Amino acid sequence: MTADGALEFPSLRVRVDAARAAEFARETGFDASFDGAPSCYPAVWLTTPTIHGAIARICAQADSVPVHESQHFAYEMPLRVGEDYDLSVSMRREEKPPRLVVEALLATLNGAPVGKFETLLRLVPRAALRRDAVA
Amino acid sequence: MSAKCQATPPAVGERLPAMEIGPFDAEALRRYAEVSGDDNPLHLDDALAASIGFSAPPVHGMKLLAAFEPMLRAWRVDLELLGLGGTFVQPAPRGEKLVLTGRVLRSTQESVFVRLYAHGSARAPAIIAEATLRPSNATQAKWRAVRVKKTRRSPSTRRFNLSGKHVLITGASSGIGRALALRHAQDGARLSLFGRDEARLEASAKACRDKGADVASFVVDVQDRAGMAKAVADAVALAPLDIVYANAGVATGLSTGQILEDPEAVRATLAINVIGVLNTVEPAIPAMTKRGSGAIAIVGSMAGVRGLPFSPAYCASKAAVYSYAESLRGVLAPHGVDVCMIVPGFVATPMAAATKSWQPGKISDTEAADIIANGLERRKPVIAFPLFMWCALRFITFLPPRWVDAVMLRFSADVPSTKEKEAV
Repeated sequence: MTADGALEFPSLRVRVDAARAAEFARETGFDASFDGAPSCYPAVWLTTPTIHGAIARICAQADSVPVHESQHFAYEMPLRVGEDYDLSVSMRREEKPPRLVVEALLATLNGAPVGKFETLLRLVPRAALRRDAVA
Repeated sequence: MSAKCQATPPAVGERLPAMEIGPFDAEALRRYAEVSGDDNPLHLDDALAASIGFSAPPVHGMKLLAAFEPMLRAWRVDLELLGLGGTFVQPAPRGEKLVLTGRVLRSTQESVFVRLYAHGSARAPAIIAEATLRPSNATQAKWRAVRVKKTRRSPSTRRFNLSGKHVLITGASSGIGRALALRHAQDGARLSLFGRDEARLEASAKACRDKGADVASFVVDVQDRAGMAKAVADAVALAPLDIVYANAGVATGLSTGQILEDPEAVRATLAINVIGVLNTVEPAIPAMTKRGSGAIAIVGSMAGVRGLPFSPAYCASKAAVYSYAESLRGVLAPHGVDVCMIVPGFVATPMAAATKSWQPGKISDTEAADIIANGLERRKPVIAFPLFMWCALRFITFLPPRWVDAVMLRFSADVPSTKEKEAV
């Protein structure tokens, strides 16, 4: 936890797995000839148990469900299939409206910046969901 | 659809070929959940989705956002994707067909910015996204070569090359002025930055130097005629001026229920926004016309197109400089100097932040600076943005004045009075 209340995770070693990238590309509408890494592929890293578990814990504490509000990927250089990277993830809460902001920095193993990603999750109280469902 | 590799950058306003995706079935969402690791049951469990009020489980927002990339690749193969992001406005139910559309908002030799939409059957889009694309070095070289050829063939429509130019900017300490300084610093310009607050001006100058620009700063008040004449002359002595931005300005207006503006604030606003423009432009004109080149850009406002009941003096000041720029354009054109009127709408600056009102189409100061620089490069006589506001304001000038006044009063706005006082 940092001074401003943000939660920081130790850097994760991640890889653009060729088979998974190809499958991700197929499921998101790329044609069969595409053999690169989709720009949105890093989304798969945010579902790793460490990150996913932390999000689930925060949501449970707030008795809320996360609703994906926005997502941004910005690159300094293209992702390369088969390459290993270091992913640094931090999370912070916003109160008005209640949100969880997940920020991730991707770098080569030499430390050169590759990209920056931001996930905005709106924390919707479970009670409100139940109320809406009844309404 | 065949992807294009073209000899020129995409045109601003160009629409991307629409692409249909879906409808997706439960199996497609299950496969996506498996590969992405996004196992949120909302997308997979019909009963859960129904319990929350969805007609069918919604498609993963990420799956839809990612689908823009193949669309962009199908459009232009000579551009590589540098950034992709979007807001998930509303869920797209499984089983619905979606249409992806896009439009070029900005386009330069270095980057292209595209606004994207994913529409289902609902009125509002499911996703509003944006993409930044970059031409490869080879593509950039090709574009440059074509530009040079066009310039040689048709000198009357030549572009104004911004790189390496000497740019003078008043009000460079913050807001649009600072953003313009940074934008030109990026283009390798030599900058003469004018401002009143030494510390804030120096901070702007340092940020520009960090981008590799050669910067001279001049601490001077645009209301000071003699001081401005000297400072402009000093800037000209450093290097001939290529672009002069008369940008410094203040806003003032009425709070809710207030009828009369503070007379001090009114006079100070006119002194800064009108006399300040004259004090900037007049000393620059002789040197620029003598050289027979360059551009003078006067920063006005949408508030100068039609008077608004929330800020009479501000509107008057901006209408005055609008008229001045129009007149000057005809006078200076035969002498090789362009005059450009900049008409911004709401831009996220400290000045706009103080105003409490609905601010449709608000953009960042960086975006505004890009639009202005691109427009200047294209030698546009008027750079007005956003276009819808410009068209709307021009249109309402043809409507019955009292009717427009009544409609305007239905909008509430609180424009604080400027702290500036009339110079004695």
